[in-house]
Amino acid sequence: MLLKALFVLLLGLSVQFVFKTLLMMDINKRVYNHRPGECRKVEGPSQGSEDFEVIDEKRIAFISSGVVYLPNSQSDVTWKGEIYLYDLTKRTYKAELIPILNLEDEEGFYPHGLSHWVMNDGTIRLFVVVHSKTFKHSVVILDYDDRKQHLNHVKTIRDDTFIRPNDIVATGENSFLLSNDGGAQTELGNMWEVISGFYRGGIVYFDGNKSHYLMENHVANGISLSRDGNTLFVSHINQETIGVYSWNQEKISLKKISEIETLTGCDNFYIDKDNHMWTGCHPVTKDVLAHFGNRSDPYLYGPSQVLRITFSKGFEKAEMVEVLADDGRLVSASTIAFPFDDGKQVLIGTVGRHPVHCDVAVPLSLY
Amino acid sequence: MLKIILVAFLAFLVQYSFKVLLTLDVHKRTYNHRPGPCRKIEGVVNGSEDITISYEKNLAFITSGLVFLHSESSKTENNGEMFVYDLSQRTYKAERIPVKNLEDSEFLPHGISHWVLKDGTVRLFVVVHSKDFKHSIVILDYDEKNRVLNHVRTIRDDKFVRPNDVLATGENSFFVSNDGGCHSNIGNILEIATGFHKGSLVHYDGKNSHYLLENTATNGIILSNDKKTLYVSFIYEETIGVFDWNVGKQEIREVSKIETLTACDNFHVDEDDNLWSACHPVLKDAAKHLGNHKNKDLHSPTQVLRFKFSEDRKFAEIVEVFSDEGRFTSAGAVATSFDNGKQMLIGTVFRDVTHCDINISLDF
Repeated sequence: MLLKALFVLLLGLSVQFVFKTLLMMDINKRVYNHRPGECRKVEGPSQGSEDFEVIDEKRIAFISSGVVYLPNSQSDVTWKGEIYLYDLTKRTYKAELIPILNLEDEEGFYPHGLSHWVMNDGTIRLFVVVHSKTFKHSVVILDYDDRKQHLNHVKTIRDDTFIRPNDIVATGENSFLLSNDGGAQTELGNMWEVISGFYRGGIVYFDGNKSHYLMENHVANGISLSRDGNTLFVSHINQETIGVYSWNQEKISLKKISEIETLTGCDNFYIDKDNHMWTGCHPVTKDVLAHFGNRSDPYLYGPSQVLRITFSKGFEKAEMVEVLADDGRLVSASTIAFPFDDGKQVLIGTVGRHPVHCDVAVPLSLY
Repeated sequence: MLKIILVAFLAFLVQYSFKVLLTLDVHKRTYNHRPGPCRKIEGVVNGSEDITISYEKNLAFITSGLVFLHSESSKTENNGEMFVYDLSQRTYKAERIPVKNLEDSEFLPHGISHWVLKDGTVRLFVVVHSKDFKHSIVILDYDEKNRVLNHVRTIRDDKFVRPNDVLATGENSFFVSNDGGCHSNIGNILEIATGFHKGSLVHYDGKNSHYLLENTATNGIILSNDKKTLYVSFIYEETIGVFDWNVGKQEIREVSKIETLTACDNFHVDEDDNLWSACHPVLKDAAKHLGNHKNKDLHSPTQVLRFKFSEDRKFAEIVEVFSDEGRFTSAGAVATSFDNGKQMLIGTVFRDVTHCDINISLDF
C-alpha cells in the first residue's frame, strides 16, 4: 500500500518535472522579427561580442570576442580570443582589433565579461573575465593606452572562488564583484546542474587582497551596478528573472530587494544615464542550444531579443519594451545592448557572432 | 485489464492537460513595442472588431458593439454602430454613420467586407447579430454625399450557423466564416476543448449557399488583391490556411498552412499584397478579458503581424509590427495599413481604435 502510494507520488513528481523542463525550454514560444530602424552588422568581431564595456567620456566601446564556455576538449576551440574597440561617433560599422601586450598566457586569453574603472590620472583600466582553452579561469586587469591604442597587462588574478566566472563589475582600482554562472566544468555536469536546479554559482567580492562569498548556490550571469553604485542587478538567467540587490561596499554586504520575472533569459546588462536597463536575452531556449553546443558551425544560430527595462522606484515592478526581436538570421543569440547618440542608435552584442548596429527610429517611452 | 485501461486513460488525461496549458500560453507574455507614435481615435468606445478599407476613397469602415454568444454577459442595452474614418486627414476622430431602413431594429455588427460597384459606390457586407444572437448578413450601400448607409438587403440562411466574418466576392455574393456551432457559453467551451468544431466556411452566390469547409473553426477571411487567393484564419489551431479560389467553379483548394503559434483574428491585405492580422498572443489573458469585457480593469495583449508570402505561397516572412501588453491596445482583432505602409489602424474586440505611424521599413 505504502509502496504504491510512493510510486504514484514519484510518478506525479516526474510528470510535473518533465512539464516544468519543457516549459523552461520554451517549447510553446517563438520569435517574431522586428527592428527599431535600419540595422547593419559590425565587421571585425566575427567570433562573438558577448560583452561590451562603454566608456561614456571617450564615446568608445570595448568588445569582448571569442568566449569559451564548457569546451569538450581543447580542439573544439578553433577561434581566437580578442578585444575590439568600436568608435561610437563615426558610422564605420567596423570594430578595431586592439593588441594586448605582456599577457601571462597569450594562448589562453579567451575573454568573457568586461568592466572598467577610471584611474585618478584618467587611464581606463579594463577588468576582464578570462578562460583558457582548457577552461581554467582568471581575472585579467589591463590598462588602455589611448595614444598607442593597445592594452597593457597589469595583473592576472586567480582564485579558488572564481569557480566559473561569467561577468565582472569593477568597484575600485583593484577590487571587483564577480559572478559565477554555475559550478560544473563540463557540458554534462552543467546539464545536470540546470535540470536539477541545484545551482552552484553565485557572487564573489574581491577586495584587492582576498575574496568574499556574497551569494552561493545560485545562478548569476550578467551583473551590473546602478549609476549611483548602491544597487546591484543580477541575471538569474536559468530562472528567467533579474534579481535586484542593495550593495554596501563598506560593509561588503548584498541584500535582496526584489526579483523581476522576465519570462526570457536575459544575459548581460547596461544601465543608461536615465536608469533604464538594456539587456540582450535568449527568448527561446530550445532554439539556441544547437548553436551554443557547436559554435564553429556557421549555419547554426539562435533567436535574439533586446529589452529596455524601466524599474519602478522600489524595484518591485518593471516596464519592458522590446527594442528588437530576431529569429537569429540577423542577430544570433543576443547577450547585451546599449543605446548611444542620445538614444538614436543602439549596439547589440551576441554570444558567438558579429555585433549589430541599429538606428532607433521608434519611440521607446510608451507609458 | 482494467488497470491498463486506467493507466492509459490517466496518461491521456495528463497529456491532454499539458496540451491545454500550452495552448493557454502559460509561461508566455508580451513585451511592448510600436513602429512609430500611436494615438487613440475618438468616437469609438464599444469595440472595433473589424475594419474594411476602401483605398479608392481613402476611407475606413469600422464595426462597433459586438455581441458574442447568448449569455448574460452579452446582454447589451446598446445597439451596435458603424463608423467611418477619413484616412486622408489626421483627425483622430471617427464619425458615426447612421444606417437607414434596416429590416431589424437590433443591429450588432461583427465582420465586415466591401465591394466597389461599377458606378463607384462602396457596398458594405456586414455580419449582424440580434441581441439574442440570431444571425444575418446585411448589405449596405454608402451614400458619400449624405454620409449615411442605406440598407439594400438582409440575407438569412440556415448555413449562417454562427457567422464571424464576411468576405465579398461580387456585388451580391460573399463568403461567410462560421467560428463554431454552439450558442451557449458551455457549448462553446466544449467545442474548443474537445476540438470538435462545428464551424464552417460558406459561399453565398447571390441565390444559394454552399459549404466549402465543414467541422472546423474559421475566423477572419480575406482575398488577395487579384482575388485568386483566399486566406482563412483557423484561430484555435493557430494557423492560417492559404487556398486557391476559383470564383467560376466556386471551389477552393488548399495551397499551404502557415503556423503562427498565436491566435490571429481578422485580416487585411495591403497595396503590396502583404497580409496583415491582429492576433491574441496569450490565450489565457484573452479568455479572461473577452469573457468579461464589461470589466474595465481587465485587458488582453495585442500583436500585429505582417505576412509577406513567397511566390509559391508555401512560406511567409513574418514581421511583428506592434505588440502591447493590453494597457494601451487591448485584444486587437484587426490591423489595416494605409498610406503605402506608413500608417496603420488597429481595431479591438471590445475597445477603441489605435492609429499608428510606421516610421521603419518592414522589408528586411
